[in-house]
Amino acid sequence: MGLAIDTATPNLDKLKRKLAQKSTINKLYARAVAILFRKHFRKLSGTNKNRFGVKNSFWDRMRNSVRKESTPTVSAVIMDRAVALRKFGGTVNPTGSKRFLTIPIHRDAYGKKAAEFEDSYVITTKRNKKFIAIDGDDGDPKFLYLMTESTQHKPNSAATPDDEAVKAEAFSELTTYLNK
Amino acid sequence: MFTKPVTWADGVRRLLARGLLPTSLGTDDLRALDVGLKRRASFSARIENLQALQKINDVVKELIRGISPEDEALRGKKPLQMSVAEARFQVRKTFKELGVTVTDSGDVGTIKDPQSDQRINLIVSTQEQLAQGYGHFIAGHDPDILDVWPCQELVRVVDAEEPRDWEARWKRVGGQLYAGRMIALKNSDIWDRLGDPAIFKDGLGNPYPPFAFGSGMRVEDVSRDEAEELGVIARGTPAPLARARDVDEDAKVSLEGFDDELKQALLDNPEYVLDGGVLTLR
Repeated sequence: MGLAIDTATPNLDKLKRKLAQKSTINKLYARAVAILFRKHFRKLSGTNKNRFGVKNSFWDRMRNSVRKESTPTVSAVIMDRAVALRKFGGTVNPTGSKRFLTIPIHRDAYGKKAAEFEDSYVITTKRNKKFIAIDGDDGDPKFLYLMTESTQHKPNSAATPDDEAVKAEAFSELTTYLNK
Repeated sequence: MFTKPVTWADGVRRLLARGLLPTSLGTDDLRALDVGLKRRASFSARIENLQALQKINDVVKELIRGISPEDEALRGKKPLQMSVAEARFQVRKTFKELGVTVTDSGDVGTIKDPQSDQRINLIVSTQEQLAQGYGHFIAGHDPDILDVWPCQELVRVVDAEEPRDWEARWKRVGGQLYAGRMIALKNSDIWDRLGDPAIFKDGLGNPYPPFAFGSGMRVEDVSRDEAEELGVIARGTPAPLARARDVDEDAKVSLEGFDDELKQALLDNPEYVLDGGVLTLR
């Protein structure tokens, strides 16, 4: 007479219970992807410099903005919208009643609004390019900003982890959780 | 996965539309956090003008809150989100209007000058990071999250001109290295000590980053598998217990370096209490 011990059913039952906990599954999935994004932005932060060769905190801020959101039916990662412009590219236009964007072209202007320079004035060149400037120490104008009606940004797929990496990371962590 | 930009309105239909705070916080918690943030801004900025503090608080809230459906509805008419440059501008403008400045003219333009670039940058960036750090701390202490990611690693995200020796700090507070990495359980008190101003003068008094003023160090989750492989925890170790935390717990600072007049002004404030040379919120 033989004896068969069913070891599969308890494990299957445990797996079924875990899979039924959709809130938890979605929460963990979102968290795994959020971690991947934060690691990716950390790598970008290490090499990130602005046009003046100064390391800036853009990718640190983007990394800090990454968070998960989940419900029993949805699993998502949310981050600052500036990442979308980097990833997908696009056109930036002034808002409200403003006609121009102000692009910093001098180190002193970086990270500041043009309005902070109280003694600034607009210079229009023969080619009809407009700049915001202040008087420099030598009496010559110090050009701070280029005024432009819009800017175009090329897409950069490397701004975020690729889809395959996202799937692989999420399934890896979920597998760990389900196998426990 | 999104293959093209999703407008906020679309996102809201599909996702929970909350700010950067964990969704487990209810309305009362969010209100308490608002009050707590104002008190912290008061504390760590070392500025006593309440209107100035309120402006810092308001600006940081705008910076971190994300985009709402109301913002989307006004797309093109006003910026969808406050920029860091706008945040700094508003803080500086308020300080100017309120006359928040230095008493010693020799300090104008230095880090002691509330209107200086250095000071404004420090205030805005520190407060933004603290608010986000608190949110991540709470989110990381969800019991399900703790089970899968029980540990975290101290990592550098932003290079510093004069980096502090964080490995020495780590060891000083009892941390161990695992394959050269600074990793500990999320609920370890190593994290409290790492930011303790009684141990490190530049400490901000919280168990989450930024641990010190102007620090580029952050934390990153370490999975159970990886933690077991590195020997941080033994195989089968139960998930660490979650820590609850009120944001006010983290507002403490050493009085060393404060001038006598400011020390007295702070000690006269019934909201603060001095304990072992460290000032904290009552």
